[in-house]
Amino acid sequence: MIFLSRILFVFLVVFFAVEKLAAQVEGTMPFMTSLPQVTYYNPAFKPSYKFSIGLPGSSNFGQYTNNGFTYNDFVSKQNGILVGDLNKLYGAMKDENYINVNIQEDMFRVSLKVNPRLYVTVNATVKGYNRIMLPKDVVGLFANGTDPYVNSKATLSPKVEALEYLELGYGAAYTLNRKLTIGAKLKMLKGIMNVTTQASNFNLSLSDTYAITVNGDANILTSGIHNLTQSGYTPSDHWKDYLSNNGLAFDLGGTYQVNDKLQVGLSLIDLGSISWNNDVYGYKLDPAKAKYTFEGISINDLLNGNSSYTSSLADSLKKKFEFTEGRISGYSTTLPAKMYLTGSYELKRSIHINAVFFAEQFRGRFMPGFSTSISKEFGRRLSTSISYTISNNSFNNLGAGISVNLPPIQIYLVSDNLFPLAFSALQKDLNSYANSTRYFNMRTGINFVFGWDKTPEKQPYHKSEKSKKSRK
Amino acid sequence: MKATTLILGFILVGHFANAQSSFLPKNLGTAINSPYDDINPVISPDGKTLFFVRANHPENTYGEGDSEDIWMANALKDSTWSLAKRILNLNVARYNSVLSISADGNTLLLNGVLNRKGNIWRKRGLSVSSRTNDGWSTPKPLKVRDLDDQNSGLKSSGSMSADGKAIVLSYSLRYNGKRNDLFVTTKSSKGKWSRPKKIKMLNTSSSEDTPFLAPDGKTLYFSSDRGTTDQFDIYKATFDGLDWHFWSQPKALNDTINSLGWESYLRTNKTGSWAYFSSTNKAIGKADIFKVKLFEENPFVIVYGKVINGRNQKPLTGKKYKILSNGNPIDSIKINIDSATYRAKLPLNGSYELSAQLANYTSQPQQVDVKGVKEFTKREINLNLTPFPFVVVHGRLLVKNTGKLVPASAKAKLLVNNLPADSVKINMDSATYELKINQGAVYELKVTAGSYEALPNRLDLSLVEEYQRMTVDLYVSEEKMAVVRGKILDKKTGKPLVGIKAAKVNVEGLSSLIVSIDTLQSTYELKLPFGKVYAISASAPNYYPLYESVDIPQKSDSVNIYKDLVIVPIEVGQSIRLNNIFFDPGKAVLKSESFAELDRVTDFFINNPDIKVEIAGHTDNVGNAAINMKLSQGRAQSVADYIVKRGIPKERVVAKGYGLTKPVAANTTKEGKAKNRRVEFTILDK
Repeated sequence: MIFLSRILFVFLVVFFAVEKLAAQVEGTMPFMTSLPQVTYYNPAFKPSYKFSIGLPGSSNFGQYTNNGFTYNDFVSKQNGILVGDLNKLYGAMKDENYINVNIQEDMFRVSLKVNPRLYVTVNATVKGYNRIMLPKDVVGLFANGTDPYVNSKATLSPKVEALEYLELGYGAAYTLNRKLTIGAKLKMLKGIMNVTTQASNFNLSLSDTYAITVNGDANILTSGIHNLTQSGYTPSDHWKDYLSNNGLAFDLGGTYQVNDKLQVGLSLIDLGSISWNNDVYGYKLDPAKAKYTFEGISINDLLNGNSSYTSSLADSLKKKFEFTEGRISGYSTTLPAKMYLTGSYELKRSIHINAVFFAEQFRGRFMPGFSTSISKEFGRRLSTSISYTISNNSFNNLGAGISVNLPPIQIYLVSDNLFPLAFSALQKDLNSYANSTRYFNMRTGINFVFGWDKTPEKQPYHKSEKSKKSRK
Repeated sequence: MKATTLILGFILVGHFANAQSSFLPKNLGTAINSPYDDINPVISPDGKTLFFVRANHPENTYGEGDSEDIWMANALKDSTWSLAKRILNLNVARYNSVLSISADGNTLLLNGVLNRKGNIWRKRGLSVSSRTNDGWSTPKPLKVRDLDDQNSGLKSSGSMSADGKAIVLSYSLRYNGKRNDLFVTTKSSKGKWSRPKKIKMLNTSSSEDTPFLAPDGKTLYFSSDRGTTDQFDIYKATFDGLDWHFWSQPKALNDTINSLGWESYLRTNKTGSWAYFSSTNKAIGKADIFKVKLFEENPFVIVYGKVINGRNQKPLTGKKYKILSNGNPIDSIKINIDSATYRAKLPLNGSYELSAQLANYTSQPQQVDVKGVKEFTKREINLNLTPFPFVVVHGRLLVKNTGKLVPASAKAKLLVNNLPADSVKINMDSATYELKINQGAVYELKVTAGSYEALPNRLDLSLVEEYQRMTVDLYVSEEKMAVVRGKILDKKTGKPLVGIKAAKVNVEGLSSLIVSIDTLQSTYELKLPFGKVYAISASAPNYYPLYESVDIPQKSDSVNIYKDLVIVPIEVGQSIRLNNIFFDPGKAVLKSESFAELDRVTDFFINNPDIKVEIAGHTDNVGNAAINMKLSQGRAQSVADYIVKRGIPKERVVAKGYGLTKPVAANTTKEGKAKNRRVEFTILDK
C-alpha cells in the first residue's frame, strides 16, 4: 500500500507541476506482457509465450501527437460555416508546438525462450519518425498582425525532422538471479530517408514605424528525398543505394524484483545513430541574403485571398528567401532516444497496477511522460489493460489494451487514447474525436504464439482452500 | 457436588488416557512445526528422515511473501525430531517440494524441473534427485508425456508408487485452476512415462489433492473438499492391483484424523501403520504436521519382570521354573534363570493370568488385563514363587544297636515334640515313615513301638529355608522282654527229651524268636515281649507239640517265667488231648476260639503225611449217656470235618464219640468233669 500511495503522490506531482509533458512514447504497451512486442520497451522484459513469430502485420504502430493545439483550436463556426480562427488558435498554442507523426511496422520478428535464463528476440522493423515544430509566433503574426511585435521580435523558426529507417534487432534478456534480469538489443540500422533541420532561424522584427524586417538562416540536411523529387525515379529499383545509410543502435535495460509483488524496470531505447550517405542533399538559406523589410501589408487581405497581392509578395520573398540546394557530404543523426522507468505491482495474481515514466530525447528536446494502468489477465485467453496517460500536454488520455490469445493466434490492440475514440465511435461522431485529440497512438497486429510460459505451481495448503471456500 | 466432582474426575482421567494413545494425532512439536504452514510430510522408508514443506518462512529462498521450501529433520533416539532445516540445493524455485521418496530411500521425486545446473526453475513437471555422500544431487527431469501441457492450475501434488511404476498426480487442466483432479501415469517397459489420465472413479466436482500411494501398492490416500464441512479431509481408496482406474468408493478417514479444520497430505510409513499428515486442527502454527497410528502392527503386550522368592523377596535364581499363562505354556517365553528374569509376548485384547510354576513352591498368579488396549505396550510384572514352608522327612524305623527294622507288630507311632502329628505316615510293614514338618525350628521326634523304648531323635530345621526331602532314620531302643524258660519233656516218659538236636520252640504268631535250646539238658530259654498271652510249644520230629499258654503282663520290669514244654511221641495208639477246643454247651458246633488249635493239628497232619488218626469225643457224666454219646460223636466229627476241610484226606481222619464211657478223671469235681469233657486224637497208623 505504501507503494500505491507513492504512486499517487508522483501522479499528483506530475499532474500539477509538469504540465508541459509531451512525448512520443507509449504508456500502456510496456505492461502487456502477453505480447512479444513488450521487449521493445525494455529488452529485459520477458513475454509470456515461450516462442512467437511476427510476420508483416504483426505489429503496426501509428502515432500522432501535438503538444500545442487540436483541430478544434483553429476553426470555429461562424453562421454555421467553419472558418479559420487564428485568434483561437493562437490562444491554444504553445511557444513551440511539436507535431509528431510516427509509424512502426514489423517486417519480421522471432521471440524465443532459450532456457530459463535466456530469452532472445530478433526483429526487422521499419520505423518512421516525423516531427514538425511550429513556433507560436508564426500564428501570432498572422492572427494579430504586427502590432504586438512593435519594437520587439517574433521568432518564426519551424523545424522539421524526419527519420525513416529499417531496424534489424538482436535482443536478449538474461536473468542473472531471481531478482535481476538484464537485457540488451543490438540494432543494425539501414536509413531510408532523413530530414534534419540543422539550423532554422527566422526572425521578424518591427520598428515603431511599422517597418518589418525579416531575416532568415536555415540549413536542412536530407537523405533519400532528393531522388524522390526526380521524375521517373522508382525507389525499389535503387534499393541497394539505401544500404549505404548504415547505423547502429542499442537498447539497454534491466528489471529488478524488489519483492514478491513489485518489479521495477529501467530501459534506454534507441541509443545510436545513422550515418546518411545515400542521396544526401542540403538546403541552405544565406543569412546575408535572406533579409527583407516591408511595410504595411494587410494580413486580412492575405488571408482572404487577394491573389495579386500575395503573388507579388511571394515573388519578392522568393527571391530573397530562396534555398540553395546542393549535394552535401554524408552526415549522421542520432535516433530519438527513449527512456522507460517502469513499476509493476501485483495486486492479485492476475491484476497488476503499473506506472511508467517515459521520456524522449531527440535533437534538443527532452519530452517526459507518465502513464499509469491496471492490467488484468482473464486466464491465458484474454489480457486487458486500462491506462491513463499524461503526455504531450494532454490530460484526457484513457487508454486500453486488449490481447486475445488463441494460440497460435494472438490478436491485439493497444492504445493510449482509445476510450475517447471508442466513446466518439459510439456517438457516431468520430470527427469530434479527431478534431479534439492531441495525442493518439495505436499498436495492433497478429502474432503467432506458442507455449505460454507457466509460472510454478505450489503445493496446496489451506490458505488457497479458504479462497475457494469464499468463492463457493 | 460430589457427583459433579466425580464426573469431572472421570472426564479428566478419560482425557488423560486418550491423550496417551498413539491413535490420536500427535503434533510433531516445534522442531518441525512453525508458526507458518508446515505441510507435505514425506517420511523416508526407514522412518528416520522427514521431508516437508514450509510455506512463506522468512528463511525460504523466496522469503515470506509467497514461497514453499523443502525442509527436513532427522528422527532422534527419544522419538523426537531434530530442528528442521532447509535442503539448500533443492530449494531453487519459488515452490519446492518432495513429492515422494523411493522404497530404498535414495531417490526423491520432486515437483518442478530445473535447468541443467540446477540453479533456476525451468518449467513445471517432475524431477528426481539422488542421495549423495553429503546431500542430494542436482535434480534431473523425469519426463512424463504431456504433463507440462496438462498441469495448468495453481497447485499440484503427486506420489510415486513404491515399486516405481506409477505416479498418481493431482493438478488442474484449467489455467490457474484451483480445483484439482487425480491423474495417473504409468511407466512402460521401456521406461517411458505415459500421458497422465484422469482417475474417473475418484474424481468429483470438488477438488482432489495430495495423493499418496501407500507402500502396499494398493491403497491411495488423498484429500478432498467433497465433504459437508467445506474443508479438506483425507480419504482412502483401494484398487485391485491391476488397473489403475478401478478403485473402491473413497471413504473419509475417521474423525480422530479428519476434523472441522483442514487436513491433507496423509503419508504412511513403510508398513502403513503410522501416518503423518498436515492439519490446521490444534496446530501451533497455521497448519502443522501430525503423526498418528493407523493400526498396531505389533499388537502385543510384552510382559517382563523378575521371578521373586516370596519368602525373602529376592530374585529366585538358578531354578528351572515354568511360566504359564492361564495355565498354558507360553510359546514366546524367554527365561533367564541366572538373573531370574523372564519376558513374554502376548496378544493384545486379552486377559491373562501369569504364574510361575516350580515344584514345592507356591505360585501367586498375576493378572495382565490388556482387553481394551489397542497398541503395543509393555508391562513389568514380577512373579512370586514362595517355597513350601515345610520339609518332608522320611526314613526307616530302626532298633538301636541291632539296626533291625521295628517290627510291624510293635505298631510304631511317631510323636513330634511329644505330640502326635497329623502329617505322619507310617508303613508298619516296611517300618518306614514320612513326615511333613515346617522349616525353621528344632524338633524332637520320638517313635513309640510296643515294648520298644522310645529314644529322642533331634531334627534341626532351624536353618532350612526351602522345601526338601530329608532322609532321617529314627531309632527306638532295644525291646525289653520277659524270659520264659523250662524243660522239654517227653510225655510218654515224663523225662527231658535229651539228645534230639532238631527240637524247636514255637511261639504262635511269632516267626522270629529269640530263643536258645540246650539239647543236652533239654532246656530252652525264650524272650517274649510284654503284654500278651502267648501260645508256646516245643516241637521235634515224630513228636506232637502240646501248646502252653503263657501270659506276660504289660509293663513288667523283669519277668522270669518257668514253663516246661511237653511233646508227645507219635506212636500208634498214642492219644493226644486237644486242649483248646471249645463248643457251646450241649452242642457240637465249634467256637471260633478253637480254630488256632485245629490249625496246629492240621499243620501236624501236613508235616506227617503218613499219619492216620481217630478223633475221639468224650463227655462228663452229666446228662443222658446216649445223648452224651451222640454229642461226643458230633463234636468229634466237627473237628474231623474242620481238618478235612483244610485239605487233609478224610481217609486219614476217623471221628468217634465215646460219650461218658472213658473218663480220665472222676466226675465228682468241676475240674474232673472239665478234664473228662475233651477231644483227643489217637494215632492209628504212622
